[in-house]
Amino acid sequence: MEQEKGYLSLVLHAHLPFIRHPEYPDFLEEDWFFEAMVETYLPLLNVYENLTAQGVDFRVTMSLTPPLCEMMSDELLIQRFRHYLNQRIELSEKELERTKNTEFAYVAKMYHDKFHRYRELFENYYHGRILEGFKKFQNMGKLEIITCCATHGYLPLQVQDQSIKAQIKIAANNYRKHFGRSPRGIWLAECAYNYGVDKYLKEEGIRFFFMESHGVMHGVPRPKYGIYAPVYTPQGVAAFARDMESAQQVWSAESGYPGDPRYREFYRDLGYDLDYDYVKNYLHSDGVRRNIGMKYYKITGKVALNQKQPYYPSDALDVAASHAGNFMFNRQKQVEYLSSIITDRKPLVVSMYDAELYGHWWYEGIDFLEFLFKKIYYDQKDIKLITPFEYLERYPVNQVVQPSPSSWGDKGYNDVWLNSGNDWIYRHLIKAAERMIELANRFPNAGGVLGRALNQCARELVLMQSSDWAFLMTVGTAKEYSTKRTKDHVKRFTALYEMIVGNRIDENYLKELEWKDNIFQDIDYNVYR
Amino acid sequence: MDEKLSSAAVIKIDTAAAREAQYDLPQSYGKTESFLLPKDPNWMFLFWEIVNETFEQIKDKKGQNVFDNARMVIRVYDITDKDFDGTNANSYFDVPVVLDARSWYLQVPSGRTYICDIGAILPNGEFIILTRSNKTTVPTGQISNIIDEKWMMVEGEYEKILKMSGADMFGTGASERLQHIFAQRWKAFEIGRDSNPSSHISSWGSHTLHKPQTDEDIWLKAACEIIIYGQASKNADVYIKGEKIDLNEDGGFYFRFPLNAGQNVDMPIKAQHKTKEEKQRFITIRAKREEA
Repeated sequence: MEQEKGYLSLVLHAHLPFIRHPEYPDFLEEDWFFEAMVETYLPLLNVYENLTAQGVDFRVTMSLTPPLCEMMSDELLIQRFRHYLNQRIELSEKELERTKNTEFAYVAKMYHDKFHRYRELFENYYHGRILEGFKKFQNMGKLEIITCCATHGYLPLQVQDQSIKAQIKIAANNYRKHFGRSPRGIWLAECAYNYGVDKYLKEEGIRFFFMESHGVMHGVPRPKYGIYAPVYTPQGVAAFARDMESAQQVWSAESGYPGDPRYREFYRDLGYDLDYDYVKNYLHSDGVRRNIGMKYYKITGKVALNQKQPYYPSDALDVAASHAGNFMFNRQKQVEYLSSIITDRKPLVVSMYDAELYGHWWYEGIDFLEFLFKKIYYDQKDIKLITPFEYLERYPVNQVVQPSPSSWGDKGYNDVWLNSGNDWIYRHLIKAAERMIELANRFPNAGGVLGRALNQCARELVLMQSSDWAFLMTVGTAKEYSTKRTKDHVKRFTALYEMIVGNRIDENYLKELEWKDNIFQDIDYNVYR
Repeated sequence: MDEKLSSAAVIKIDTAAAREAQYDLPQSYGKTESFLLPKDPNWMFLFWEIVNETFEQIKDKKGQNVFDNARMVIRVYDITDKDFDGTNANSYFDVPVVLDARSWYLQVPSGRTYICDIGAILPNGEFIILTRSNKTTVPTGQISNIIDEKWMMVEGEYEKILKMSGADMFGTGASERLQHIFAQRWKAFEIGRDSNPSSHISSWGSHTLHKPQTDEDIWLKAACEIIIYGQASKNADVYIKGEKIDLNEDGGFYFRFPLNAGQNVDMPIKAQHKTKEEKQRFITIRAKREEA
C-alpha cells in the first residue's frame, strides 16, 4: 500500500529565442544561450547525473522548446559555445593563482571545478550534443521532455487556424526529429490558451498541456478539484494548472528564497572588477566591459555594489539546503490539508517555473533542486514526485471542463503581448500568415527552387511569430534587438513573397536567408494548406 | 536599420542586408481588411486597412458625395451563440472612429463573442460597411456558476478549494516577479551598449506591471491608457512634448500610452510651419493619476 498523501509535479520550462548570427564573427545576444548552457542546462544535467549515480529516484518534467533544441544541435553555436566555455576555464585557472590565500580562493575554486565538470559532461558524456543528455534521462523514465509551440508563438493572437496548427505541427515534427518519438505533452508558449487550440494538440497525439491557475478555475463547468487535479478539455486533452502557492513561495518579492544575503550577487561581476588588461581577452571583441558570468560577492544585504562581501560557496549551499527543506515542508503541509478536503483521490500540486531562473538568476537554485529531490526521496513519505503522464495513467478519469482563455503573463491574459508598445507587429504577422496560406494553396507540393523559397517563407513566418519579441518590447529591454528581429523577418518574408508571386526568385538571396535563418531544416510549408 | 546591434562586429554589408535596407516595413498591403484580437475579458484590439478603391466602388454605386456627411464608426456586434449572417446579432453598439488611426482598442462586456464592421453611417441612418473583421471571444474572467452534478463538492468544502487554488490572486500579476527578473536579466546585457532611447512617443513610460496592494481581503486596481489623436496641416511639423513625431500622409497622427501610478501627464502638442517657424499652434493635454 502506497503511503503518500499526494503528488508533486515539478515542471521547468526551458526556452530561449532562436538567436544565431553566422553573418557576424561575434554576436552579443548569442551569450544568452551560452550563459544558459553553463548556468542552467548543463548544471541541471549534472544534478540528474548525481542523483542517478547515488540511486536517488526522481521525476521532473521539462519543456525544451524547438528553438532551443535547434540551437543545442547547431554546429556553429556548438563551436562558439566551446570557445565560450574554454575561455572561462582558462580564466578560472588563472584565477586560482591570483586568489591564492585570499578570501576569494573558495569561490575561484568553485568556478574552476564547475566549469571543468560541465566541460566533462558536454564533451565526454554527451560528445557536444547536450540533447543526448536530456534524452538519456527521458529514456530512464526520470525526465519527461515536452515540446512547445514551434517558435514559442503566442497562439491567442494568431487569427488563422492554419497558422496555429502549423505552430503545433512543426513543433511535434521537430520533437520527433530530436527525440525519436512523439511528444506526449506541450507547454503552450506563455501558457497562453485560446478556445480550439486543444483540437490541434489532439491531432498531434499530445495528451496534456499546462495552464495558469485561472485558466482552469474559470473553466466551465466549475472544476471540482480546483487546480489540484487535471481536467480534460472537450477534445480530451488534459490541462494541468499551476499551483500559485508554490510559485509565490519561490519568487515572492518579500519572502522568496533567491534574495537571501548569503546567495550570490548577480550584478557584481568580474567583467567589471578585474584589471582591464587581465580581463580583456574574455570580453567581446569590442573590448567593452560586460558581465562574464563569474561573480565573487554575495548579496550581503541592501548595500551598494561596492559594499558587497565575499561569497562563500559552502555557506550558500547550507542556505539552499534549508530552503529546500522549507519548500518540502510546505508542500507536505499543503498536501496534507488538501487530502483532508479532496477525499476521493490524491491531490496533485503542479509547480511550474522558467528553467533559466534556476542557475542563471538564482544561482543556487540548481543546488536547491538537488537538495529538494534528495530530501523528497529520503526524508519523508507524504509527497511523491510524479510526471503528468504518470498521473494520467493512475487517474485516467477526469472531469471534462472547457478551460478559459488565459496566460501566465501579467494580468493573466494577452496584455503583455498586445499593448501600445507592440500592437503594431500584428498587422504584419497576421498578413504574413495570410500570405503564407495563400502561397501554400497556390503552389502545393512544389519542389526545386520554388519549394525551397516556400519553405524559407515558412521559416521567416514562424521566426517573426516568436512571442519573445513582443515580450521584450513590453519589458523595455533588448527592445532594439527585438524590434529589428521582427522587422527583419517580416521584410525577408515579404521579399520572398514578392519574388514567388512575380516568378523571379533570386536564388542568391534565398541561399543567404537559408544560411542565416536556418531553423527547422525539415520544415514543410505544405503544413499551411 | 543601423547595424549597431552587434556592437562587437565588423559591419558587413551583404546582399540581404542591402536589399532589406532599401525599405522599411510596408505601410500598407493594398487590401481592405480588418482583424480583431482579444486582449483580456473586457478589451479587444481591432486594426484595419481600407484602400481607396473601396471608397471609390461605394461612390460609384451610391454617388460621389455619399461620404460627405457620413459618420465613421466601428460597429461592434455581440454574436454569442449565433451563426452571424449580418442581421442576427444579439446586440450591437457603435464607436466613433478616425479611420486614419488604423487601429482601436474596444471595451466590451466579458464572456461574449464579437465581430466588428467598420463603416459609415449616412445622414439617413443607412450603414455602409467598408470591412468586416474576424470574430473573437473574450473570456469571462470569473468562476463559473455552472456545476456538473457528477463532479460536485459540498459547498463549504469548495470554498476551501477555491482559496487554496488562489482564487483571490487571479489576474493580479502572478508572474509579475518573473517579468521583473527577466527584465533585469536582459538589462544586464544592455550595460555598456550604446542604447538610443526610442524616439517613438508611444513608448513613453514603459508599463509598470505593478501588483495591487493585497491588503488582507480588499484590493483595487485600475489602469489608464491615454490616446491622443489629431491632424495637422500638411505644411506643418508636429511635436509632442518637444519630440517631433511622424505624421501620416494626410497629416494625421495617433498615439496611445499608459498612465502609470503617481504620474502626471503634461503633454504640450505643437504644430509648427515647416518653413515659417514663427507660425505655430498649441494644444496641451493634462492628466494626473493619484493613489491613496
